[in-house]
Amino acid sequence: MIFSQNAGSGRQREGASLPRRRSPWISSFAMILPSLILLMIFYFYPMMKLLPQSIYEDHAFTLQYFQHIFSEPVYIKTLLRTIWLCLATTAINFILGYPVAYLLSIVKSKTAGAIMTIILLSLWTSLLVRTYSWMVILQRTGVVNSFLLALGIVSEPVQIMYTPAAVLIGMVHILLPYMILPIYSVLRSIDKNLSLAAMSLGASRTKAFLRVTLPLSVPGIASGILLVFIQSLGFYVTPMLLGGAQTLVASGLIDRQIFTFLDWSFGSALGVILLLITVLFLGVFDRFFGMDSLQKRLV
Amino acid sequence: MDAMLVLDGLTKKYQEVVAVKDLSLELHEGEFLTILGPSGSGKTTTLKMVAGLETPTSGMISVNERDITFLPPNERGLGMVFQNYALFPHMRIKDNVAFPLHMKKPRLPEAEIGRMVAEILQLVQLDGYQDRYPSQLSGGQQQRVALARALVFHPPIVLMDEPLGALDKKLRSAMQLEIKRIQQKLNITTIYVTHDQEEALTLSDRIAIMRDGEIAQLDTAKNIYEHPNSSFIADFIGESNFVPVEIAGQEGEELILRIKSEQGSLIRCPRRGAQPKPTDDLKFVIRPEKVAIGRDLGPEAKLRGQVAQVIYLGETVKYIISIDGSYHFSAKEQTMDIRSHFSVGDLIDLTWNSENSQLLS
Repeated sequence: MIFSQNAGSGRQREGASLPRRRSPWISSFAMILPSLILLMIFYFYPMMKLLPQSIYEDHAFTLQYFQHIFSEPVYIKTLLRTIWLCLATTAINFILGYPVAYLLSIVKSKTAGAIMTIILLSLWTSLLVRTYSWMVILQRTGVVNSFLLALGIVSEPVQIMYTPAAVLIGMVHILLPYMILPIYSVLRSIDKNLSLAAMSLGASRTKAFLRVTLPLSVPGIASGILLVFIQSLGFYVTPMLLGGAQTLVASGLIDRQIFTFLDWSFGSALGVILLLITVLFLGVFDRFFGMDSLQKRLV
Repeated sequence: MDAMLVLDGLTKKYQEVVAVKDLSLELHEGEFLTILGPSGSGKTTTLKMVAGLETPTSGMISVNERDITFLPPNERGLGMVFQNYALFPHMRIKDNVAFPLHMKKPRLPEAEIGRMVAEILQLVQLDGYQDRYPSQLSGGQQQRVALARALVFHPPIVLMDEPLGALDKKLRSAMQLEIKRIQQKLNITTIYVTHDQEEALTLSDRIAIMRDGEIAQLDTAKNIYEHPNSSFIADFIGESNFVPVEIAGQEGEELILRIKSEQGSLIRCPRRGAQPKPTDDLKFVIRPEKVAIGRDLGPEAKLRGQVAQVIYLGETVKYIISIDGSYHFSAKEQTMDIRSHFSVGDLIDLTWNSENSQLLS
């Protein structure tokens, strides 16, 4: 979806500026070729090798691995847990991220630069470092528990590590920039006069926001939600370290099947399920938000 | 007739910079007032203060004797047309125009809103475009939508901030007439901000020329053009000849002026208003199109000069005439009634109706 759009806009620009008439398809194809090759080698090829493993047993078609997934409550539970954790991560990120993006778009550029540096700093810090930091903070003898004990709110340390809450906290923190940045870039491009115009036409500040700024920022919200949700579905390091075996997610499950039990077929079947969830989400998303038409309208 | 809008001692400071300084003016119902000035003269800031988008540092704004100085913009009920239209790109034309009606309290019935939208769209000649999005319209059409949106809720006053700035010249003059037609038809009190003097002259009942945050002159278009009160105005509106002079004497109602040059030719000029101080940096001012030229005009001649340059401008021919060998005077003649053709180097006489000349400092 994203690729086809890029190719489309590239084609238009090309057509407008080139004096010679050349097939627009060839030049736009040439432009996406490097990334296409990369994807073919490192993405499509392994996937094509993996997928058949989930439906073939000794060269015979079988659905036994999929049946296995849906016959074991533990697997279904893990998949459902993954989905709700991702939905919760996305929702919390939206609630936390939108105000930050909005603030960034209205403050002076100097202040915005400072806030942006903080956001990018967390993005540049290694994922592993950030996840370990959360372990330090959340463990039984960690900062949170020391604080709660010192204040006398609890009498003994609370178990936070290895609960869904720990995974959620970690995922929200790590994915927050992916929500803020696309929303900010769209908010910044909205003409400030629009909300002033709305106010001069009788809208209160809140109404001007709800009727003008918010709907115009939908493309940014949509990209943010997409980026965060899809990334969180495949999140591995953070849920493994903060959730462990008690709060297992789909990626952890696949990892265990392949590297612990060496069951490539079952692991592949789980991978296919995860892929299907992603595709389903994209489809539903495109239908409800109609991002393409929204973006066209904004041009 | 009571004033509808009163600005009293309006001042706006940004830290140390004074954007608008002690500005006062009154606007009557149905009047079209243009605030004209170079960029940075404070005209947009003034308009924004009236709209409520900027808070004045001091001073007062009232509409129909109601103090609105610190009212938020949505409670002022004034219509505003923005420089780049500020149409809502995600709404259809009819929803853009209906926006202020939907914001009204108590709520208007949908049927009533539909009727008002249709009526105003017809007035701006855009019926049939209701269901389009702003991006599907041309610049001129978008401008009409912006106008319709600012007028649909019958505000007592409409504020326009360089509404035609983004249009090309042809379209701009067409839209000027359009704005004037609608303004007169609905008898809307209007404040119009522009830096285009031609636009100001075409549209306005009165023009306020701003300079450095202050009103330099506030008068009808004709008075401002014919009787500018300073050389800044004479220079800003139209073209003017400025000749540095000193007072050499007085004869009845006329001043005798001596051009500050070696020869020191004398010019007569009617005395108007207060006697200028002799120490002032005085200038004799006359517009080029008020100057007639000819060969041997006899007693009518007011100055003698030599043609230094002839510029053909299409509608007019402009002669640059050297006076006393040191100053350049320009005279314009309509190409239709050119009485004589002069070429560079010709010695000629200049004359004018002394009512059209002025002494300014």
